[in-house]
Amino acid sequence: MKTVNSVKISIDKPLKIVEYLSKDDLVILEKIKNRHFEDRKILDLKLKSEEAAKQSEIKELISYPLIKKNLAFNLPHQQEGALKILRDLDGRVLLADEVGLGKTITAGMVLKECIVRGFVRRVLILTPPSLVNQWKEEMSTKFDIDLKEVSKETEWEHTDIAIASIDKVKNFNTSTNEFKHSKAHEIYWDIIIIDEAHKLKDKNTFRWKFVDRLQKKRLLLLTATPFQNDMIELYNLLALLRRGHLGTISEFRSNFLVEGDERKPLNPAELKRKLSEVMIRRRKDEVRGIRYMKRIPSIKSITLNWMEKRAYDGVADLLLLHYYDFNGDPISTNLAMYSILPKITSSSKSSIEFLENLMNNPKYHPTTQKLAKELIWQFKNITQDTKIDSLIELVNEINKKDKGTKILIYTKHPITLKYISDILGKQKFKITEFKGGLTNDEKTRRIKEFKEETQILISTETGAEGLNFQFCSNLINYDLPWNPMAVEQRIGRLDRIGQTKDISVYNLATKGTMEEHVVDLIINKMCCIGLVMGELPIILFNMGLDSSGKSGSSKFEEKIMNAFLSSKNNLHRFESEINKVGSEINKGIEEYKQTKKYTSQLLDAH
Amino acid sequence: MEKNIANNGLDKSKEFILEFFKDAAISHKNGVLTIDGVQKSFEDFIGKKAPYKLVFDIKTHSKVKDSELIMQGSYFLLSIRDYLMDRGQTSLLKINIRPDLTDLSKNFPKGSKIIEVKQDGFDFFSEFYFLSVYQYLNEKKQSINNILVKNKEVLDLDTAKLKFQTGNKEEIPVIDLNDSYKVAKDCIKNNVVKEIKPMKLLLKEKLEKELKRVKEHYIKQIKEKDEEVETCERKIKLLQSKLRHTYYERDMDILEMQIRESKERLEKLKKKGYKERLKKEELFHVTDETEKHSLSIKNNLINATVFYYPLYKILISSKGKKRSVKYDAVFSRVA
Repeated sequence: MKTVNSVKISIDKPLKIVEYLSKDDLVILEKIKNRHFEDRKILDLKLKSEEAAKQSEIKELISYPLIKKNLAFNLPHQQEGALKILRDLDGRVLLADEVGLGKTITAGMVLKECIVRGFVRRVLILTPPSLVNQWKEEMSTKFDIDLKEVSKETEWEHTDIAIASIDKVKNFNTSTNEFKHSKAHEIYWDIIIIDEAHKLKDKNTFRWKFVDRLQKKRLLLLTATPFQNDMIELYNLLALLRRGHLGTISEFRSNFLVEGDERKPLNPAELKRKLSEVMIRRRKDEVRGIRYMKRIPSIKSITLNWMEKRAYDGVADLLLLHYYDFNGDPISTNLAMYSILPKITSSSKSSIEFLENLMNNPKYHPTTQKLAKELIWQFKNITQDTKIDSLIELVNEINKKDKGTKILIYTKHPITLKYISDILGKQKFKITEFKGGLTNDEKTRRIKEFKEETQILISTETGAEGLNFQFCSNLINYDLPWNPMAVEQRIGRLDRIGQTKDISVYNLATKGTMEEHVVDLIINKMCCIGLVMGELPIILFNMGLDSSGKSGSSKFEEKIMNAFLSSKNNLHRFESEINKVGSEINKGIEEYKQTKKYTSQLLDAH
Repeated sequence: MEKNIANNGLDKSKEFILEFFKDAAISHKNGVLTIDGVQKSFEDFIGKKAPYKLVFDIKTHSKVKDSELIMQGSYFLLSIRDYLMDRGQTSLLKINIRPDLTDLSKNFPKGSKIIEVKQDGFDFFSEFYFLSVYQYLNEKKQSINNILVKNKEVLDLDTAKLKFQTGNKEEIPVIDLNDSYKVAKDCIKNNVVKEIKPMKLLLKEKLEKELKRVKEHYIKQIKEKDEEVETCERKIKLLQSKLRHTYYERDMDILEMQIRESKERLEKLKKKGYKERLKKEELFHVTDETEKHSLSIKNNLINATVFYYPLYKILISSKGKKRSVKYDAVFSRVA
């Protein structure tokens, strides 16, 4: 490529014209001086090549053939959307397709096209923290675009194609009265893409202000629900795209809102017309090529034998009644509990691991350690593991129904993974293990192995993050994370475009323990109720349950743990607490459905 | 096989591909042009080894694995363009020209006789090819212009009418084209001014519309805030007047609280310096729109060619006297 060494700027008011001069011109003159001459025929060919490579107006995506091989499916609405954004909307748009239609892919197509056509040099993608890696991976594998994550403020200047967590960069330093990442505001970005842009609904937040101060030529805001509570949120989003497009806030209220009800449009047809100038929205029922498969939940109840029940109750009692520090003071259990409880319901192996750690750690009181020792003895003397037996039974049942069908088994704990793998291996099943810490090459090898050779993949969630297993339609949750977002991620590995079968979600839950109720809540009342992939996180976000609580665990998880603590191992009380959480969630789901309906009524009505 | 393909009315892209790969092994079957035996330098540049399966429509492209879709501006064509970018940058051409004696005679007085025509050194002129790329919004346009320069002057000459061959650098001295380049560059700038006229019009129209939106928005915003301040001030005056005329302690308390609240609100409004803030915001958006609607122009020299040609010494006899003149046959000029 030619390098540009000098830039001459002339202002032809109000139009700005920038003329670039190339230093390569001088190289050519120097060649003449040095009597270096080439064949004239090359010039003829070169002139023809310029003609052949000439891109005129945007009629098609010239970059599509490059990325086509990387996309599992050709979904015309994604190409059409990208074309419309570039051709008709000058690259400033609110992409509000319904959840599940692949807004990321459409945005990636826009970006790739801009890069190939030479429109952009500086690119910025802002996403929620949990999606940074997913974006990096998708852009790299599908579009061959290498995004560099910016986390330090010194990194902006030298990063042309940047991605950042919006939560990190929006930090405002009140002592200097500046954004910590104000360097980003000094750059003129050729294109900015913001995922989950509904988080920019409030113009009084630092998040909104950070985005508003970015200088940009093209801006893509991605969200399926541009407003949730009222239409002022939509106004605030559009203010980022085109200031004044809907007038001032007072004009917007008087022209488009029913007085006293900020949810009702006064003049829906006119509002829709205004929106169509800056927004693209497609519904699932109007696009071709996507099949939505059902999630079929199934809970396999496990009845513990008396030895297992005694050990399990013993651990619960220890945690609630005899959990002392070295001085004999009860340990404020909340924080510890969040990580311990799921362990003891996972497997006897992970319970023993926890108890052994407790027994060998001098920071605990001898009474606690003595109890732990006793419980280890109890666990080790359990002759029959009902949970693993039930898993074997379940795997055999699935295999009997559909011989050789692929099965993905999830567990939270690596120690449980190894345990299951050993036991199932002895049952002559071909197994692939998948856990955190694998290199990319090793991951690819194991995915291939699972696809082509083995029947069962046993994985922890950190291992399979961001991977696609749409060729498998059976998922077994050996233990369940008490965070519905994590469960959604697990199911999401299978529930993707390209899945051709309904997805069976099997869950093992121990009868007469709190696990039974938690599994029922997360699986039957949240993850398998007919929502489309990606909707549950939005619901939890709306309810303020998507972020981390004081313990570092998700706020939802905290709710469950608090229910356990306040029930003091009384199952009836726990059940009633869980039912309360269930009702709250149900309310959130209903509100979301209403919002969706409301969004649809406003945006999709003909 | 190649001939058959050519006879089938190929589009320009296909013709260009065939010309570019003329030394390679080409076969054509079921709408797929397979090209093998390609220069290593091209394989290295494109990062893919031949054979290349080239197809010319999306339908065939979706059927043929690993095929390259060729269409106006497609990636493969862009790659060839980039491959050629640093090649063919200079050329040396020799114009084969001899004086036309009949024409030449017209330059001399009646009765003059040409005794001898002898080659006497060379002269030259230069040709510069510029690629001008215009980028604005999501549009990219380009044009190629060639400018001929001789002795710091732009020439109006049709080189297609001249017969020339590849030159021999040993026949000419070292040539410095810097001055000629400057002349050509000035000329190209004038061309650019003409070429960008429609783009400027379009951008200006669009930009003015956007700036009008931004400016109107902020005029209204400031007006609304001004009104808010006025309303607040009026309210305070009204409350103060009410306070002066009330006798009930309870009402006084309420009025005092309302005055206090309104004053706080007013202070808040004024303290924030809303006018300055909004003006600053307006400037930001005006600059943003101006940047967005800017036109960027790249003028790159892609080739410089030296045309050289023989000068002639003409010996003439007129009224018994002999004299010699220099003759430039390309420009039919007697020196």
